[in-house]
Amino acid sequence: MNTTYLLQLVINGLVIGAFYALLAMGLSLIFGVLEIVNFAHGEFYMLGAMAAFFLLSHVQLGYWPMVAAVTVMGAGVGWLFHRLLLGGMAGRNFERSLLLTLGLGMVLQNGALYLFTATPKLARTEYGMQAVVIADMRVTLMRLFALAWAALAFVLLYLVLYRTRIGQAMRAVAENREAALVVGIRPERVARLAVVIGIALCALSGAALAPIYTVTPTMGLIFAFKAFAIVVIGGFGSIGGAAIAALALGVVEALLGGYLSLILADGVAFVAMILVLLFRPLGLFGTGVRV
Amino acid sequence: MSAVLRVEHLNKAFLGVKAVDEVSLAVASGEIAGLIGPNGSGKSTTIDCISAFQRADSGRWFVADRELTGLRPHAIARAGLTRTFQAVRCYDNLSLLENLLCATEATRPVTWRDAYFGTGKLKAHEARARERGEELLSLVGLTRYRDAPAQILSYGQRKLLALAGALMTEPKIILLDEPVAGVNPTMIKLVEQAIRRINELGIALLIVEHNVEFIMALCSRVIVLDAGKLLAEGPPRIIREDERVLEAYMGGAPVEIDA
Amino acid sequence: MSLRLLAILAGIAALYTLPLCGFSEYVMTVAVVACVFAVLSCGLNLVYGYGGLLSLAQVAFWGIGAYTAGLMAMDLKWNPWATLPFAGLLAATVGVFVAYASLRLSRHSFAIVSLVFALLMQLVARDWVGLTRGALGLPGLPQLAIGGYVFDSAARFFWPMLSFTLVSLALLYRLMHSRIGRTLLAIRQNEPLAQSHGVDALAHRLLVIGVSAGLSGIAGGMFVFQLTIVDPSIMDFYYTESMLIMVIVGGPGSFWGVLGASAVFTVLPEALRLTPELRMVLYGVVLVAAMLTVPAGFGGILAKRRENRWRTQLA
Repeated sequence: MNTTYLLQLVINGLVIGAFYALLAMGLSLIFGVLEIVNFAHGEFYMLGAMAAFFLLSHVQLGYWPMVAAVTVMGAGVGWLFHRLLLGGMAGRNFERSLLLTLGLGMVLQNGALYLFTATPKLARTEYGMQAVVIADMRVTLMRLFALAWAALAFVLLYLVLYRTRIGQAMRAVAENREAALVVGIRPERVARLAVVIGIALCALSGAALAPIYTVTPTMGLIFAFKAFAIVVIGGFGSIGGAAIAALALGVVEALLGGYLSLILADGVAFVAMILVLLFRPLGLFGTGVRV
Repeated sequence: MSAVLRVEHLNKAFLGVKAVDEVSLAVASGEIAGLIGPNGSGKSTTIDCISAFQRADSGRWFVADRELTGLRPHAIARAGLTRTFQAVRCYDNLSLLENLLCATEATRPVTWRDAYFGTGKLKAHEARARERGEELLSLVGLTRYRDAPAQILSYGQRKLLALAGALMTEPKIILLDEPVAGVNPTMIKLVEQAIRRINELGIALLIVEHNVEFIMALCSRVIVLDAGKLLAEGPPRIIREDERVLEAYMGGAPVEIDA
Repeated sequence: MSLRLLAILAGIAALYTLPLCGFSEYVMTVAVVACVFAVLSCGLNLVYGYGGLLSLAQVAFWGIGAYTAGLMAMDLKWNPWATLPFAGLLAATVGVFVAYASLRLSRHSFAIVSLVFALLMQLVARDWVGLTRGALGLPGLPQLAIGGYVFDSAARFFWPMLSFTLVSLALLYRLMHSRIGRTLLAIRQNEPLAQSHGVDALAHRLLVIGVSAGLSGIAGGMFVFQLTIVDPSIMDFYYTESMLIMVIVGGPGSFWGVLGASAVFTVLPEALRLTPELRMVLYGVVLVAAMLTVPAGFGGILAKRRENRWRTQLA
């Protein structure tokens, strides 16, 4: 068994798993606070990647400012998203929000297809393909920096959720909506922040992964489905569960893809999801408080 | 006196906390029994378990000596046990009569074939159901709204419609989940009358309620739960003065319950 | 015979004469696609508008039917007509199976599972090369024929497709307007209440999913015999998006509304000469707008009117 190869796969898996996690946590947060399944989640990730591509190639922005800029833009888009579309939707007839976000996703994806065509784009940064060599493994700087961004996002998310009052409010609403309202938490403010954070995470993921994988308008769809599978596996409303499931999935996919076949790698998320739904419908870490 | 409903050793826990703890009770044929207890005593959970809207952890229950343990909700309704809901439920977009017509599955379910093709058998069934529906609407005093969409009814009227719906299933016993919660005093009287009329038809009732006066006035026997366990059982005037009951509700301070 | 029935029969007779009117192959293809979407969206209407289930897996059943028919005709050398009932049966069986497993879950999960199932089926079609021949699909399928008369052109194929469509629509119409349909509406509005009245909600839901999946499967089989190729693109998300629009705009639960919407949304994009991407953008915008303004579609508006009429009458 070639340990270098194994470790290489694990590292790659962790990188993508980290971003699966950020996407899934954002999805979980939005669901937990607003009871809305955001079917456009993947498209925001795609837009982040597209924005990254344009900032890098047309505006010639450096890597670090680019990622920061795209994330901030993502936060702004999230704010608009909530303000214009999700306003009264929280907690109501869920099919309505499902179809609304699905429609939005259609507009974004096909709009991008129309404007930018399906040709894959390569986002190139000033670091190019440079890599560091750690114990016989070649880890590209882009992957390393992406991991750094992901780690930063995890830390910030943790701080917001567990060390600020509004974060506490978000967790309260996610756990028990009615009780939170009784206690006087203003749902709209909390909801808006949840959406802002969720979409910002999507944008960040898009920007960080754009230099690593190719950028196409359809990249959001499969990524989002993986995120859905993860949320189901981890348990609806369980943000920590989503993170763990995501990292695990990233690594498993990488290993399967590296040793067996890419086909299995793609399918494992869905098969795992269906298995969880059949045997532990609340998810592996779901608390059963809210689905 | 035979028991139309018999519950044995019912248990249900949520996340390790026992909501219903070894509850056994019985309701005699034609009886109006009350189920009371302070908040969180497990009354609604008991009802939910018996009617299979929650899965009980263990226990058995029988209607007219026929075991219903483990059956799905619709099968229980077909066996003669019907329940109403605390948050009153109606088909908002259907007329009152249509609301009642939808409740006939429990009595004489038609075959898929009959239902699909609308055969003569179905038509006869529907005609009978219509007659019965109109009778029941008059029993609860809602004939005026027969063809109106249920959406327009007031809260109390919806409770009456729910009662009529329960009657359509020709039950042996009806479990009422807080029938007068949030209802104004005039309407409470109407609900009480409707319940008495239902009972006169020979149908037993088990009423879960917070309104203790309502229970004391209506029921011939009262069962008290506290923290999931059976606390006391007996006729209203005995229960009214039972110290354990007073303590469970009021924390021990002696307070007169208005007769 | 009522005037309405007469009008419908006249309309049907007129439709049957379409292939004889000398329209171009392109126009007749649009007509065929209109038939297909009529069946698909009516099926979705049954599942969502009556059954209350937002199932995004319709396209998977259509695809399963398509592949079953194609594979049976090519590998087992069956007569294409004979493969169709099996296509429908297999699609229906898979549908019931998946539905049974996922109906225990919440409605959020059900919608997601159905969506993921559809994607999974497309992945399987693309990647299980041994069975489905992978991304290139199965070309060279035989076409439907009776005796020596082959339904090769779109104009000729329109006849069997129209016939199947009319039979399916009649079947679905009867189902929706029968007592089963009324019970479904009750389940959709308030499932616990229906259950407390003795209605077996699960059985009813499995029935509509099975029927809808079966009809979609047969339609899928027929369609690929006209295309003479079946490949993974048959399960493209585009079909799901189109079906959704037709049902949402037409009004879930409204037979004629959805039928009308399916015709409009098949013909309109062609008439406007929109590229596929712009068509989807349009659909997305319509969907978002509908959800913001009239979430219950046109059917909901009518229901509100009826309610208001009663309120004023009884006031």
